[in-house]
Amino acid sequence: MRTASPPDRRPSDASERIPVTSPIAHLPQPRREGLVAAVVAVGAVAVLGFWWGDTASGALHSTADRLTAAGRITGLLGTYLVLVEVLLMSRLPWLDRLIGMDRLATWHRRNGEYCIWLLGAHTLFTIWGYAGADHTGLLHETALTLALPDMVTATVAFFALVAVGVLSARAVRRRVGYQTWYTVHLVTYLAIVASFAHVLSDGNDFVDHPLNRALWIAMYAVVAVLVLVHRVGRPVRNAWRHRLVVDRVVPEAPGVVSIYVTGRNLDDLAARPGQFLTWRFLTRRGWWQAHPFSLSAAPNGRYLRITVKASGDHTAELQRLRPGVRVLAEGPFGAFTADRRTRRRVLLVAGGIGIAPLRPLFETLPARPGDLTLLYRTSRPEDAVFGEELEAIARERGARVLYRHGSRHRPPDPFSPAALRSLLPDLVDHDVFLCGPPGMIESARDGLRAAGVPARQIHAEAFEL
Amino acid sequence: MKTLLRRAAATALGTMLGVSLLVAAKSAPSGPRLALTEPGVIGRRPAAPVPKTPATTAPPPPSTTTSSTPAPTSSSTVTTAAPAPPPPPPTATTTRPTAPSTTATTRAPARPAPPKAPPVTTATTVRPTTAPPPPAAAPPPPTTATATTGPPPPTTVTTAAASATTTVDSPVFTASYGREAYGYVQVRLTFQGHQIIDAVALQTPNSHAKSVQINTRATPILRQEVLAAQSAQIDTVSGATATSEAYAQCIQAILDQVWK
Repeated sequence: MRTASPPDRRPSDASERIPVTSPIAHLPQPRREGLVAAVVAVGAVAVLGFWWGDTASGALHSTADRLTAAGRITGLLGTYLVLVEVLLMSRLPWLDRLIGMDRLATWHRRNGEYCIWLLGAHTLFTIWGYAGADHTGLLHETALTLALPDMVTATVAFFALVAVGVLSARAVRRRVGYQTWYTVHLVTYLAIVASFAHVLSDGNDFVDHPLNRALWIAMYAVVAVLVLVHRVGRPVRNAWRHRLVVDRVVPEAPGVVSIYVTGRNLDDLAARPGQFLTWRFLTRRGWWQAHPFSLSAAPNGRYLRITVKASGDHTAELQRLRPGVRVLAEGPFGAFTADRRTRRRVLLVAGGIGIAPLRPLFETLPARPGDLTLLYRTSRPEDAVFGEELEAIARERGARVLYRHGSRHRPPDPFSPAALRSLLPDLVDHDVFLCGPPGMIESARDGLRAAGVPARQIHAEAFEL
Repeated sequence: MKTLLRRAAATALGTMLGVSLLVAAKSAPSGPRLALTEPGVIGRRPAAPVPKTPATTAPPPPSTTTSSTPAPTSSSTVTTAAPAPPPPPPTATTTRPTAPSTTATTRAPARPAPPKAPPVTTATTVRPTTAPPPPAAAPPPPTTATATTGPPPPTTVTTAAASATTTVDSPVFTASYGREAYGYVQVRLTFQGHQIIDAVALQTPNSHAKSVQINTRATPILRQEVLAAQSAQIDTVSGATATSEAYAQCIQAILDQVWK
C-alpha cells in the first residue's frame, strides 16, 4: 500500500493547504482538543442537571444542607468523570484520530487525578453534611453512613481508586513496575461496578426518580458497550482475522532489533504511516503485557514491522524473540499521520528510536524533491538505524537526511534557533513532525518556536505512553 | 512543575467556585419562596424561646398545629397511666386535668380497674405552646382524644411509683417533599410529667425499601433530637427531609394538644 502520490500533482503554491479527509481532523491540535473538551463539559453540565432539577430552590437551609449538596455535586461530577476516564483509554478510533493516543494518555492522567480529588471531596462533604444534620461527630456519622445500602462496596471502590491513583503517581509508578501498575489499573473496572449501586440506592437525585435512574443506567451502559467493543471485541476479532505471527527478528544496531510480523488480511488493518499498535507477544514470560510500538515500515500488505530498542525488561526480552511466536495486536492508533500536515514543506525530526514512526512518513509523505528533510539525532553514530533504507528513500524522492550526534547535555545544540535556521532558511514555512524522548521533544519544540515556527505546524509524539 | 501547580490550583479554585455558586443558587433563605415551592411542608420552625416559668395566662385554644397538611386519619389517642392512688400534689401553679369529657375508648386491658385514679397528671410545670395559634390555618383538630384510666402496664410500674407517665399518639401526617409524598408519619410520645421521656415512631414511610432504609436510620436520630430539644424544634435529618418534617409536625401536634 505505498500511497505516495505523484509529486507533480501537488499544489505548487506553498501557502495552499493540503486537502484532507475530514474537516475536523485538520483543525489545529488545540482546537480539536477544545472540541472534545467541550463535549465532555456539556456532559458534565447535563449530569449536574440531575442535582439541579432535584433540588428545590431555597431547599438548602443550613450549613449541613449546603455541605451535603456540595457532596452530591462533587459525587455526580466525579463518577461522570470516571466514566470519561475509561472512555479516554477505550481506544475509540475517532477519539484517537481526533486527539492522538499520547495526548489522550496525558488527559487520562490529569483527569484521573481530578476524579480522585472530586470523589474524596464527595466523601468528605457528604459525611460532614450528614454529621451536621444529625448533630454527631464525623466518626460516628461515618459509621451511620456505612450502614446505608451499598455503602460498603462503594467505600471499597473509593479506596481502590485511591490506590490506583497513588500507584500511577510518577514517583511511585517508576518503582512498582509495569505489572503491578497494570493489574491494579484493571481493578478500576471493578471499582466502577462496585460504586454503581450506591448512586442509585442512596443518591437523593435517583431514589424515586425513574427518569434520572434510567438516564444514569443508560450512561453506564453506553460506556460499557464502547469498552467491550473496542477493548475486547475488536482485539478478539483482529486476532482471529489476522493470526499474526513473528516472521523474523533482524538486528539493526546495538540493542535495537526490527521485528517482522506476518499474518492474514494485513491490508484490512488500514494502518497509516506514523501510526502504532499495542503488541502482545505470546511468549511464556511476556504474554501478559501489551506495549505500544510504532510501525517502522509503511504498511505494505506483506508484513508489519516494528523496531524496538532494549530499554527495559520487556524490550530486552523482545530482542531474543523467536520466529513463530504468535502475536496479538490492538490498533492501529495514533494521530501522528499525514493528516496533520498544513504546509508543502516538511521537516521530520527523530530522536533515537523515535525514528520508527518517522521512517514510514519519510517514505510516504507526499512531497516534491527538495521539500522533505529528515533530521536524525542519536547519541552515537552507531545508534542510527535504517541507514541504507533512508539513503535509498532520500535518493528516490530527492529528500535530505541529516545526522546529528552527541549528548543532549553537551553543545552544540542542534535545536538552537540559529542551528535550525541555518539548516533550513525557510524553516517557518515547514510542518515539523517530532518524535523522540520527551526531553528532546521539549528542547526541539522550544527551539522551533523561538525560530518562528507557529505551534500549529509542530506535530509531536512522545514515545512514552 | 510550576505549570503543574498552577494548573492544579486553577482546577481546585474553579471547582470550589463552581460548587459554591451552584449551592448558593439553591440556598435562598427560607421564607416565602419556601412556602411557594413546598406546599404542605412546614419548614424549620422559628425558635421561639420557651419560658421556664409556668404560664398563668389563659391557655390557647385547642388545636394549634401550624401545619396546613390535613391529616389523612386523624386519630389521636391520649393514654394516661396513672399509678398510685394518692397523686403527688401538684406543685405547679397551673395543672390541667386531661379532659375526661372526651369520648372514651378504653385501650386498657379488660381487667377490673383498680381505684380510679384522678386523671390529673403530676405536672410540675406547664409550658405554653411555642407557636401562637393561626386560626386560619388550623387543620381539623384531632377527632378523638381518649383518656383511659386503666391499670398501669407492668412495664411502667417502677417509674410510675414516682410519677405518672403519659403516652400520647399524634395525628398522622404526610411525609412529603416538594410534590412528592412518600408516606405517613405518626409518633407516640411518652411524658413523665411534662417531660418527654420517649418518642416512638408508630409509622414512617415504608412503601419503598429505600424509605425503610432511610427511616431506620433517621428515626433514632429524630428521637434523640426530640428528647434533647423537648420541643418540635428539631433539625432535619439529612437524607430524610420529608420524614423529619412530618415528624416535627407530629411532635408539634401532640404538644399543642397536651399544653392547650
